[in-house]
Amino acid sequence: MSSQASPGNVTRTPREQAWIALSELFRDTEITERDIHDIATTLCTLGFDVAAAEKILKTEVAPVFGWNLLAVAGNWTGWRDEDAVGLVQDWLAARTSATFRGAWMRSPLAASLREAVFYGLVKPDWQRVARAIALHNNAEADSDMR
Amino acid sequence: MSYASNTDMHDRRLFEHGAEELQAWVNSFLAATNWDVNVRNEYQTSIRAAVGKMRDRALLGEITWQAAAEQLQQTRNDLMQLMRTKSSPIGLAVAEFLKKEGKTLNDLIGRYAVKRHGKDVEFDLLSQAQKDAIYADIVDAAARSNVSVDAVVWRIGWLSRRVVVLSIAISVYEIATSPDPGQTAGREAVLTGAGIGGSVAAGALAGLVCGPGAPVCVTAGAFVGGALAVLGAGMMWK
Repeated sequence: MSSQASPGNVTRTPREQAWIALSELFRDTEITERDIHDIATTLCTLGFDVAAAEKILKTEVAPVFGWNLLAVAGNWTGWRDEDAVGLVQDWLAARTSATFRGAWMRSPLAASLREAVFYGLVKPDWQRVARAIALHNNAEADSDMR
Repeated sequence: MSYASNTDMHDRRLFEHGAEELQAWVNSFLAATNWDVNVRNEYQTSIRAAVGKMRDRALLGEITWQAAAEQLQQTRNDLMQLMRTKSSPIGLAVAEFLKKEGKTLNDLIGRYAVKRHGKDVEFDLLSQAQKDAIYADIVDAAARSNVSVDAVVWRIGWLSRRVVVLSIAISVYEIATSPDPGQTAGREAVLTGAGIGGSVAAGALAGLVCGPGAPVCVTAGAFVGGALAVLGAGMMWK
């Protein structure tokens, strides 16, 4: 895995790039096959397998962007890269803070609620991404064998 | 009448009043839920109408695809803001939670150009037909809503409509079997009105106190405010 310069010459870590890619699942517009393919390709290129990407989705991305899918009129264009990264970083900082809110966010009950609601909302689309990652990896393995 | 039967009557009345208050409290949330479901439906209808109109004009050559994409992006953003102001305090807080604005038209052009032509694409070097295809992609994206959101809204609407019917049926039964139907009907109406009013007012107040985009705070405020309003109205209307 390597860091990559994105537009504006900002260097993003693979994890931050994964946040940006996965945040696309939470736009209030149809997630097309092209979107699924692009997200899967980005995650594969960054070196994340299905299990690692799913963990990031459940524990870092869905808790932040899941709210958008509960909104009457949510963001439909997606988030700018710096905003997506900033939102996740803010949330992670709040989760590790020594406050009542931080303690609640770290509790197993809160984690279960977040997974049930926020991850549950994108689970069908995530499963499409997971299948695309598996196909991508299988295709790469086949080409390596040849 | 014996002491025991007086006590029974008193206990039954307390139980019925408690049940009515709980029902009124639930009704206040159903009202907010149904309100937001209706706003979502209005949002979808408005988007479809705007997209259909703009796409037809572009297909007829009355406007360019670039103009269609620009106008539609602005229209959908305007509709998004309008519908948020029309939603319940809880709906507004949820919508504002993320605070950050979405991508600009230039960002969207960049996204769809990359999707069509790869990461090294230079938009200015594309032909007009290729540029139009990218603008048309933006028009199409603006036309669609997330099916997960639609499914959630549909399920919530379906469930809340059925609970509303059940709630009305319970109210009709309580009024019909009450020794004083007029008094019971009045009490149910006052409790429900207080629950809805209290929930909306307390939700809005919590939004002011906690700041914009605080869905947990606003929801808690609406819950507590609705409950207090129902209890208060219940104490006044014995």
